[in-house]
Amino acid sequence: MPLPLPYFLVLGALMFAVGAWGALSRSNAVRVLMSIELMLNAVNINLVAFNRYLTPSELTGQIFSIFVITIAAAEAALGLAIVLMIARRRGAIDINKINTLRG
Amino acid sequence: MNALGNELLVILPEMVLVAAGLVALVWAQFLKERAAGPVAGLAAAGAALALLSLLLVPDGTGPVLFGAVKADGFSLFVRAVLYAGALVVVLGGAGYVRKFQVPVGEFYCLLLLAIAGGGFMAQAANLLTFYVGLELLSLASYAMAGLRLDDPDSNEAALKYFFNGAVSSAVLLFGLSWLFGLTGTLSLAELGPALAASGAHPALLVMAVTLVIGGLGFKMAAVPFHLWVPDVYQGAPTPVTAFLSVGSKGAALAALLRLFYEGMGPLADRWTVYFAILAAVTMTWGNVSALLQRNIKRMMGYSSIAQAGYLLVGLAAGSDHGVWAAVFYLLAYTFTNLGAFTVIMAVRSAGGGLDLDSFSGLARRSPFLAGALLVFFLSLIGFPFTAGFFGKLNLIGAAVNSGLVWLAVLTAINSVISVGYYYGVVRNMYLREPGADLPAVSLEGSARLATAVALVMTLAVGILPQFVSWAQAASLLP
Repeated sequence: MPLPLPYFLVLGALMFAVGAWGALSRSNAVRVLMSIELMLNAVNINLVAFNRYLTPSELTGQIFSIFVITIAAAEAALGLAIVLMIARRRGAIDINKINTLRG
Repeated sequence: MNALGNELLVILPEMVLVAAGLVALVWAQFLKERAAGPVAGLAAAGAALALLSLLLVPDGTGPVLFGAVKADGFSLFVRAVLYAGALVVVLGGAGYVRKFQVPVGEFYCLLLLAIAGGGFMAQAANLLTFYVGLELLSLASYAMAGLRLDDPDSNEAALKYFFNGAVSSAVLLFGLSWLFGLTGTLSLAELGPALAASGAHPALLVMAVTLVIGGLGFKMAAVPFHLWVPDVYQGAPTPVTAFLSVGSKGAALAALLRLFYEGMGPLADRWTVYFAILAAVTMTWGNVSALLQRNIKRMMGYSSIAQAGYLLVGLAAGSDHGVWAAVFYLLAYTFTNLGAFTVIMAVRSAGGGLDLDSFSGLARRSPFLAGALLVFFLSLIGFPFTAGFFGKLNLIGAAVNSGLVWLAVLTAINSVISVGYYYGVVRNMYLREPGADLPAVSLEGSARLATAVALVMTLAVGILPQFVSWAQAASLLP
């Protein structure tokens, strides 16, 4: 017997919360990137689970999750490029210390 | 095959933009240091061609390309505004790009890709198109903010914009996944009926909608999702700042209108209150903070936050009047704000700084630029005979018609507050002597053209009644 839908939704919500907490509290730029990745994967769990339980005859949610995976890869590549640029110039990737712009 | 050809015609303008962007990227690598002029010309031609090819798009086409996009009056109007805006950014920014050695191919390629993403958001018929368009716009914008590789401020702007933006996209996406779960559909047309019929707990719907508003509020720079704006606007290369202030905001507004007014119209009485509060807080916070700024780009950043608040008034009205008032204001704001940024870029490229004192005696150094900036600021305030006046009048009218008198009054009060910081710049331009170290400002041909176009449009939109009827045709009602 398969697990009921709420199990997946709670897993998705917990993963999203862990990712959001990590993205907001970590100061290492690479860890923040990993946390964002966790948030996007929580979305994928939601999409696939909803698809399986609500509209099993269509693939809408699964196709959406493939798009999310693709765009997440592009986003991670761009994010790492920006972090690399900062690391080359400043020798550190602590995002709390990169704060010279202020009013 | 022929049917598919007709369907592809709907996204012809975006295909032109993407093709021009990719050619620009490759061509610039061949031309190397001589690239700045020709590639800017190519990008301008691409934007102009995209604008013209909107005429070929069959109006009133329902969802095509497997339900991904639709060409109604609304999408045509918003895309026309976005592409005309891109054209002004290319013309106005060409001098800056050459002077500060922004990588030419990358800049124009990313700009055209970003604006194509905005175009897809405006014509999205389902949540997937809408998300992909948003990410195309966002990823290109993050990269553009960091294009001045040797400038630490630009690096920092890219970093801040990327991390804030990536988190907010994830939040938006989580909201979209719940909307899908509550309705079982991604199509905007089926969203409203499915939500009205769904027996799900209202709290779940409120959660999903709040997450979506948070994600799009970030793109639109609405308070409290605006924290990135001043830093990114200050650090990014100025043509990029100009683009962000209209392209990103306009596309996000179009997406919000589509998602809420078109998709969830039947539930309007449940979500308008959020937008009324968001609009009120955004315009007030933006205007009051702008009073405190000494850097012109930060000031324009807060000013653009306030303008986002005005645009949201149309959404808060939750009526057809509100929708066309919002897109009409977007038209007025696009040309006005891009004109102001073109003048700022010209002053900066001439060797001036970005603090407000750099504008001292501009009336003597360049009477044309000072006069143009005065008109743009008057329009941003909402002075009669400029575009901003009719824009604000329509928004206030829409708010009153929907019973939001307090919001209408607050909009008017905010226009008065905004006089304070615009006047500071005008006083510097006209009443202060130019300092000995400030250079005379001469204007390049392309920047002169951009300023003239923005100036003519700002005055024409404020005087000719045709623009209002075009905006009214951009209604979202079927």
